[in-house]
Amino acid sequence: MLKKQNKNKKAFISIFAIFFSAIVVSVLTALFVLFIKQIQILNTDYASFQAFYTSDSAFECGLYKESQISAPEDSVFLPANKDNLGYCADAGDLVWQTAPSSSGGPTNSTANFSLTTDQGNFCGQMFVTKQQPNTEVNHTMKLYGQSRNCSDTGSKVIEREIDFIY
Amino acid sequence: MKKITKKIIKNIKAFTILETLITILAISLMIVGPVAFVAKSFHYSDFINHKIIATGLSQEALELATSLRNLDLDEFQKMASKCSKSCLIDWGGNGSTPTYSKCESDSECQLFLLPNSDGSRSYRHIYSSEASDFYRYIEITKNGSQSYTVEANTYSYNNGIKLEVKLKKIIFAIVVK
Repeated sequence: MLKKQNKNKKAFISIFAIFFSAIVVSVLTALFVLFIKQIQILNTDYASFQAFYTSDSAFECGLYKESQISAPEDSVFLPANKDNLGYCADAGDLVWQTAPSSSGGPTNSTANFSLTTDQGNFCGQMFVTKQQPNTEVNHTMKLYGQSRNCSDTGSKVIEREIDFIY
Repeated sequence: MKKITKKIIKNIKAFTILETLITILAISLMIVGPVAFVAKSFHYSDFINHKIIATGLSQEALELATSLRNLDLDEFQKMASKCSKSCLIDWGGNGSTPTYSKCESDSECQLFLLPNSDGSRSYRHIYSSEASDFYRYIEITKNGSQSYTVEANTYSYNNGIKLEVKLKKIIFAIVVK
């Protein structure tokens, strides 16, 4: 009887030690994974800043194009001047995704440019809504900075937006 | 009776080597695991802290370059022609115009902590007794005739590893009225 009890005690100590260490190791692994996630989130944060500056660059570009015209009807965001789009950034020209076309009312257009960074290419997008020249209604620009190539359509993207009404 | 007791004592066996090794391994894991985790945590929190500050400093450099363009386009264009390699950019606080000059080495591009009147401290390119861990410079590339690519680079050395945050922006030669 005494022998059996003693044998059970030894087994209990070993099993307890293994179980306890297994719990400790799994808790530590979970915490470690959380830390790795935090670092990933931090990189997302960095990409978010770059996405913001990409949209800000798009804003600068749009503003420059609009500030260079001598008359409202000279805007490159109007169908008659769509061939004068020119460049915007250091990587490639500004490209129409949707060129402005006339249908009587406001003219909508979308232009893209690419910004090369250490973290890969970022895409700047300009959505411009131009009212008919000499109308009292405001024009709008929606500028987006995206953490991916303009040609990519992947699901994961960090995007920042600037809205400009003038 | 004496004989029975002796027999019982004889039957009490010690742990086998395998049991002892497993127990030692399990206990070692319990001790080494938390210690390693705490050490890694300190390392990561230091890394995260450095990266957040470096991102903020890079952001500040881009904003200072934009601010100089807004205040004085001619001066911004002079800076652009001078800073194709690396330049420091600094700012003295509200109402002052950003200043720039060439910096080509770690010691020239280093940021120092300067106390403000309200008790806070600012990262500046002015020498003080309190050197920060951070170094910062900007590079400006002219694209065509009217746009500039401004890249702000802030870096520090964390446990001998260079930690770098680069942010980029296109600035156009627009006169801001």
